[in-house]
Amino acid sequence: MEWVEGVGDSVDAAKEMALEALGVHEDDAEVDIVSEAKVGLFNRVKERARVRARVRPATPRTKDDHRRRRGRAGNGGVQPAKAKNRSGEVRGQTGTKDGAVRSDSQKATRASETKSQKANSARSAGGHGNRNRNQNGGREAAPKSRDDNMETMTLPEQADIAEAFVTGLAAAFGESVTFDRTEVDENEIRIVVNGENLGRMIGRRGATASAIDELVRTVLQRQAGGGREGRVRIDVGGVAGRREEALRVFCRKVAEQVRETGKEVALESMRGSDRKVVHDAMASEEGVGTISEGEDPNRRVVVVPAGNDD
Amino acid sequence: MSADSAKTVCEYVVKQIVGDPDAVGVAMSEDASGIRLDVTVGDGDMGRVIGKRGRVAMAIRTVVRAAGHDTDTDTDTKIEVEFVD
Repeated sequence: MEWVEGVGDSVDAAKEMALEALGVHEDDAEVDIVSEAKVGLFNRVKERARVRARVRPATPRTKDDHRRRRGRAGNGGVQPAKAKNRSGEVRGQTGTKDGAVRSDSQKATRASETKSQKANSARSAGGHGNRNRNQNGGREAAPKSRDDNMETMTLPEQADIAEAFVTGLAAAFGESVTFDRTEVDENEIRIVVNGENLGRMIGRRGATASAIDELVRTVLQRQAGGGREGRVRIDVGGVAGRREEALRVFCRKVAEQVRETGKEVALESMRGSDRKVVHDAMASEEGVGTISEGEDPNRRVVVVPAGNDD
Repeated sequence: MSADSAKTVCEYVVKQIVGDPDAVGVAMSEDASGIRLDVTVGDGDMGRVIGKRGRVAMAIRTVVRAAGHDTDTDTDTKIEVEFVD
């Protein structure tokens, strides 16, 4: 089973992403913290946290597993071994050198050691903890070697895979489609899918369209593997884009209300992707901040007057 | 017609997600209450098709049911997708 990598604004968020990609519960996964998030002024995230995870090997590798790896020789074939070495490096740096298979409690201990050690080093170095850590060759070695050695599939390459998948899917539906690709930023490509009879592929309230986006994510995880970065989103019929725009308009109204009344407003619970739209929209509004509360699927954003968001 | 489309879509999607596409099987059965698709996958691929909290499985069901929708008569055939261990 390959390693997958998760990135996020916190170690927990990164872990969440990696586990989601693997499709397993935390108990069934082995998680290594590659690097923690670095936070700059005003708690802005300067560098996102990275973790690597794989499904905990429960049984010896199957024949099938061997065959798949050999099939990839030449490009990704050596990846798993490298991954182990790298995680070894990371482990070495954080002070624990136990074997590749660890128990849950060991893992938890290691994770907390990592945290406390980093905290210590930051404390001892005073306010320049982050900067000093950057100059520390040992700590930076792991992420650098990863970028150099591990094949990182570029976003356009991922977008090609996504389009190929959706083309095949549309064919299975008996439809033909065209694509309209937009690079939102360096971390996101959005692909609007156009076609004549997309009704079935959109579904009521865009339910099928978002299911297709979910499947694309899964396919990319499968086919692009651990070196995957950024996000390719598939928007069948452009419904997600229109929905997002409506959400942004709504956010502007809420922001105005919070500014005028000085009182916080709790929005209804939303899925993560919608919450992100809200956070982003509110970030560009003056005088308001956002916090999230509750647990999925009931997690929601609370819009607060500026200065109350920490 | 729509049932065939659902089966085709189901097969296509599952094969794209698993590590061993050759091991994927989709058996369709039909009775008065609707259509049933029994999906089998190779060793170790069940986790991929089900996903965390069943998210991938739900997405597969949604897409497969959409494929089974008859746009001419605007009727939804009842389609069950079971992942058989």
